Amino acid sequence: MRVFHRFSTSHEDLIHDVSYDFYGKRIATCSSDQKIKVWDLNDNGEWGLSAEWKAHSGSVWKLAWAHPEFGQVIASCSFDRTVCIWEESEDEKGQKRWQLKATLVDSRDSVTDIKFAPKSSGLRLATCSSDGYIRIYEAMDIMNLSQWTIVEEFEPQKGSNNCISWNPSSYDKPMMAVGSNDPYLKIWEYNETGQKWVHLDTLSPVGNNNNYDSSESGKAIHDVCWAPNMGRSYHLIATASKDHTVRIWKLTNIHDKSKMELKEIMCKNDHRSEVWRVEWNITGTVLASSGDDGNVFLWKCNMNGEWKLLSIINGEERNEDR
Amino acid sequence: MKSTLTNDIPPPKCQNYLNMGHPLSAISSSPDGTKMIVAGREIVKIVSMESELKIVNNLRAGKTQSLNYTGNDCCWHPSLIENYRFLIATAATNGAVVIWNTTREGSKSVERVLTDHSRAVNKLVWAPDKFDCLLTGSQDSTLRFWDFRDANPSKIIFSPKSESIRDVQFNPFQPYQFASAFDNGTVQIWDTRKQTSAVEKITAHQGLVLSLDWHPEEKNVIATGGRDRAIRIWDFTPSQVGGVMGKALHNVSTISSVSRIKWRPGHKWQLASCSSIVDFQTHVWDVKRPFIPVASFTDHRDVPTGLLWRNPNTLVSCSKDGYLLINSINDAYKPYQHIRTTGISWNVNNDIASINDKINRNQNNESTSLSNQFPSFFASFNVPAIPIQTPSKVEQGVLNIHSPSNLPSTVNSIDKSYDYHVLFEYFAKNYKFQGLPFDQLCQHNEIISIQAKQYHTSKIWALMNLYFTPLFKNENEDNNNNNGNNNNNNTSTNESLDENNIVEKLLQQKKEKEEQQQQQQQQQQEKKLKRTSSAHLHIDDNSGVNNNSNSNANNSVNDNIEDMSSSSSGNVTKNNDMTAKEPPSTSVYMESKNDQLLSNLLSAEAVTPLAPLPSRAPSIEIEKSKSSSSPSNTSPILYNDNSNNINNSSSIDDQDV
Repeated sequence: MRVFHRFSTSHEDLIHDVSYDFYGKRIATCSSDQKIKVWDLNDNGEWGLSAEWKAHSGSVWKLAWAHPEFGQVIASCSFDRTVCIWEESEDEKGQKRWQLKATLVDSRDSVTDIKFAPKSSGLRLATCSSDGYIRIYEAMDIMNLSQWTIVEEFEPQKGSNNCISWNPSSYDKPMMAVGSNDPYLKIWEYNETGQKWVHLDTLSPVGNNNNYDSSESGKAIHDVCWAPNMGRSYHLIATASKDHTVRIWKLTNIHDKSKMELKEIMCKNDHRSEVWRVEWNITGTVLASSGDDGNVFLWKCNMNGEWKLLSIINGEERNEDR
Repeated sequence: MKSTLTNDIPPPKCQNYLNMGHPLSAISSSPDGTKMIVAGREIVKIVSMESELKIVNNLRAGKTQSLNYTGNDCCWHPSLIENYRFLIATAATNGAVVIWNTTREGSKSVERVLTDHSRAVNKLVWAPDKFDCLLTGSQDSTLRFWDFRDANPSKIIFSPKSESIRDVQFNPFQPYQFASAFDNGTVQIWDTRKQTSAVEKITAHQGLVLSLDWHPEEKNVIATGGRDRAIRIWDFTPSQVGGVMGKALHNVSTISSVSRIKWRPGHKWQLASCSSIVDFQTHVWDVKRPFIPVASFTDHRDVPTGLLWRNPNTLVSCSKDGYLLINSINDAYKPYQHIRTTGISWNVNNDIASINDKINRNQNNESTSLSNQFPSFFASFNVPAIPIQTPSKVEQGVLNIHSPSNLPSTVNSIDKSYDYHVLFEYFAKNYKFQGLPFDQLCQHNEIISIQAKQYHTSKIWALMNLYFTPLFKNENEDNNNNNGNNNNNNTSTNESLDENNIVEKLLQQKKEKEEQQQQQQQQQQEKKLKRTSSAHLHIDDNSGVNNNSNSNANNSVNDNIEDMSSSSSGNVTKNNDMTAKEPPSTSVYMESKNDQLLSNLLSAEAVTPLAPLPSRAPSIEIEKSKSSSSPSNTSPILYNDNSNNINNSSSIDDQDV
């Protein structure tokens, strides 16, 4: 892979998240300078800044674009304990502006992750916060984004939760994976008979014997990503961990609780430093991971089911690369 | 870290703490550092700081519960001189100022009660040069300078007419000067010798200024904290006056109003702050990095009300929750160790947008400016295995977009710089198909392609290597076992890609040829397969992961080949021709696992249908799956659109970005 575009975002402090919209024509970035910036791809293939605004009174940790059928909507979460919903609207003169539609203030501590649910569930947003709770909000009326009701609130554990990822498949019940400061990956599922979210029994420790940090806190899960399930009969979930590893987990038989199993199928520590992000591509076949060493690693599965390093991207290189 | 407010609260995590049992409002240390006054609405006590915290004196014991003895603020006399070192002063919510002598017991401990203020006294300080004097600021909008031994104590009254005073403090470098913070947002500098008007006045905040602190080392620098959720640093040097108005040196944004600030000794630009609502943490900020605190102390369960630095690494704090805590900075929560500064996002074209800001996770040293963080970053970690070019200056905030394939808009095709024929000749001379183990052949060919700037092709070689190496490794091992042949097979895989290695035993060469022929066979068979069936073969997982990956691999190779033949760059089709030219003379197929595998892959019996769709599937999907031959729920976009082909993870040509 080669760097195709590279530009300075002019954020005044560290950037924490970048996100493509659904079509790949817009990018949003957020930073500790409390601002969100939105970039558009113009017809010449160049990226230009389309909007920037001060979004919060603390560092903005994460952004999420909603599905375009709900409009141009971004959700952002921040250290200042709030989640804000922004919508771009056009006023009479044809000027596009981003407006704050709603602020969700239920969290009692810094909100660490937000993710929109697959669009088959409607316009739903899950937020995960350092106070230990995952909250799910829904905009009952998608035309009026200022009304969000809290649909569910559950606590995977006491203490900080770091990351969540929805099961993107529209054919399964709503499920999500939660990662936190202990090394366990937790899967939660919405149980329709009880009308609430329950914790599925399958959880496996992330840590192994040969890890760098033997204490529990050294194995915190920094990011989790549920792969789009393009026709596989099992699910893949990737985790990025503080103990320098990227792991992929295979979740089988989710419809039959007695046979369900969560198994680790890959563990790599090529980053040799804390790994902070994992993202699957749109077909769920290539995993990108990035960490403190400054590199993005791409992983792909070979014919034997072994996951191999496909490519290394180092953003600082301008010249030829693998 | 945060627990909800319940009655059974676990003890704080810090080593040294004391539960005073009542809400606390202020603390002040004795000049020799061994004792401390702890004051609150209902308590005034002396606590010993040596080794462990212990209450040594309860000054209010045995007295009437007069409102005079509430401790809104307190201050221990700063002098070590015998007559004065036991004196403390407390300010009360009814306006009384009480001077105590801590050596005396019972009712004699009260030296004097001064009641000239009409409303609560918010802050009081002893004058640094005149030992009998103290200065108070009150809710009644006046500042009084008292001499408590005098019969008429408050001789000097300052009436700024600017609303209530929240904080006063003497300038450590000029004993006649003090600064005061007001409810109308101004900060004023006064001189005790000049009662009529202020020396200097600036508007520091919108809304109340709740706290201020003179810098202990930098002359004339004041930090102010206000209800508008900001901490600002001002320079009051007289020559700067013209420029100071309205413009702060630094500005830190906090998440809620700032009730107390204190500069950190030993760290020139760091200070501690706490808040009056919402936020129970005490943060240590570096004013040069105004967005993220250096450290946070999280142990209080209600708002902290008093802060005191005992030494550069220890902060004593008291809070409305009744606890007096000794916080050590080593145990503090350090946000820099927990925040993520990297992001990845895929788009539908398999482009990756990525950001990776360098961050110094050990912020123990003097603050460094953003652009120079790089050296200290690498000092903190092991050297990464992949050698990374270390640029001299790191750009922060850079967003990279990586793309695996040509975008249609950039029509400057790959072979712009190289003529079609030149490329063909180049590849004909340099490609290798025999003489080396499979993975080294692929590597060699990949390097050849890169050198010709055919990144698309080089990626295909890399992928072939990745997918099929296990296949041929197995076969190599089989060969060794079956023929008892030499171990040169294995050793050859360790040798470097050297031209001299082509010279090998005949048997070895024959084996390599056979491997490649099998590979070609496979490719040709897959080509046929691709043409015959348009639907994506989905193999259920019953046969194990291998088959699944195999099918992925197959189809990906299919698409590779498809792309090769359909893309505009002519050299790729030449590859095909070249491989087809290999004489299939020795068409001996060894019975090996690979044949089994191949036949499994390609036989229709290996295709088993998926479990039927759950009833919730939308109707459109069912229709689509009915129209294609297999009832799979894969998305049809996977294999119809070349540009979506993730397996062609190559890159575009070298046009300047």
